[in-house]
Amino acid sequence: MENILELQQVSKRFPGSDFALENVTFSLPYGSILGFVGENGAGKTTTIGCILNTITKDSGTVKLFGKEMTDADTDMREKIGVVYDGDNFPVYWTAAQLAKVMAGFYKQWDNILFQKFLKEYKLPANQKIKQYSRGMTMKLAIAVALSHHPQLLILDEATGGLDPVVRDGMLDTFLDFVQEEDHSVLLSSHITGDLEKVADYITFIHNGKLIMTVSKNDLVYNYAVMRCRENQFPALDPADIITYRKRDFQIDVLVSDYKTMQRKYKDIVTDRASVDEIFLLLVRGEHV
Amino acid sequence: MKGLFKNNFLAVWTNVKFFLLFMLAMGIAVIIIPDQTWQMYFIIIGIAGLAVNAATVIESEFSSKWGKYKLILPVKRIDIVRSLYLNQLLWITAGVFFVGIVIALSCLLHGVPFEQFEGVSGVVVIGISISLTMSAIFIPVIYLAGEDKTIVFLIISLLCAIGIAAMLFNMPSGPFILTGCSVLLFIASFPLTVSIFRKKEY
Repeated sequence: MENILELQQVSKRFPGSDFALENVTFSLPYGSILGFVGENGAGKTTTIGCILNTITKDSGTVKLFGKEMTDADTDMREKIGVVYDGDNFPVYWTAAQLAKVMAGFYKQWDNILFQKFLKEYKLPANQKIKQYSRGMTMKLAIAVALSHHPQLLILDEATGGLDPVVRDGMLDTFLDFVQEEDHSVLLSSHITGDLEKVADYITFIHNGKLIMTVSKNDLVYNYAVMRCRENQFPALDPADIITYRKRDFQIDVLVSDYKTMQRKYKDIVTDRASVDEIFLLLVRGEHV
Repeated sequence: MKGLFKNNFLAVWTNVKFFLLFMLAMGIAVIIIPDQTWQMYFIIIGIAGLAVNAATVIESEFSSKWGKYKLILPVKRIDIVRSLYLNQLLWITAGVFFVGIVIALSCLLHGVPFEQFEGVSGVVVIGISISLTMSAIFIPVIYLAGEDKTIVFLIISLLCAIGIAAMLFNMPSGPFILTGCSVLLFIASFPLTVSIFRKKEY
């Protein structure tokens, strides 16, 4: 399967900061949604900055549509829609003014589509953005990102801080977007529930390092948590353990083959795990 | 570039409306009352004031994520910087036209209050030079030192520009030297800002 986005060994250090992005490697196939999960400060925004060239990477390669994007590749940026968390646009503008400005930037700006989104999201075209609620500003940002017919949508914490109803509507929009097989979405979030609903693949990042990239189906159907008593834990085969975490008199063990573990350790309770629980065990758990 | 011009115009227009109202009131006073000192201040404030308003584009961009967002739009970084310099030139030109019309009307009604024509043109030169020098200092400095200190750097740049104008204008051939220096500074400032902005990370 071809990839719309490929990162190979991307690294970035900041002078005067302990944080560093180290050898981040993942890819996003055409026609899919990749959830990019990490706690605050894990390196999600830095990675997206490296992808979009708003941050200069120290090493590694980022390929969009099969080639590295430079500042001069304006045609490539025509095919990318981006939504950042918070105020994406000057707050003293109206949506109508924003549309006029955007029409000056994008060759493929579709004002009819934009007006359709405004109507669908109930966004008043002539009201200043500063009078919008947070949910409305995020909807506006998504409307802008989609109204120039991009192929790749990059969302950096775009659903954070929104109520579940608005979030659900947005997730439906992303699912509609990837119905076209040459469309893809990179959805950075720490709300793992959102990703469970829409993502095809999930990439976990922690402290600037990539923990793993895995398909959501694999996570849902194969990953599991074994609830061991302290005396049961030493009997486990270390090769089966991804990470483990002690909790009072129980030890939670993350494993990647639910059915095999159920058969192998019949006296240990094995539960399917949510993305949230897997993420916590990956980040806070210990390795054997 | 079209999108950048629309963006810059909208950003300036938000602030400049109130300044233009003030200048309009001042202009009416200058047309009615023929006073050389008033006219001098009107010319300098009119031209430099519009340039200062234009320069605040940068501040308004970084009060939201728009400054960062612009980098992912289909425009080159050099074009973003170019649009800022052209925006400055546009508003300085608008200022010259505006004060020119008002002074011409005043002269039509009351005659030329300045002792000689060079007096009027000298004041216009000062207004333009202050505007160009202020822009030449402010734009690269703000990208270098950070967009959160816009007002401070705007005031410092303006004071520097006024200081340079005051020093050079009274020299022999002062108006020519002043014009030459401010134009050269403005031109040299552009590649400097481009090189700073190319390394800027958001």
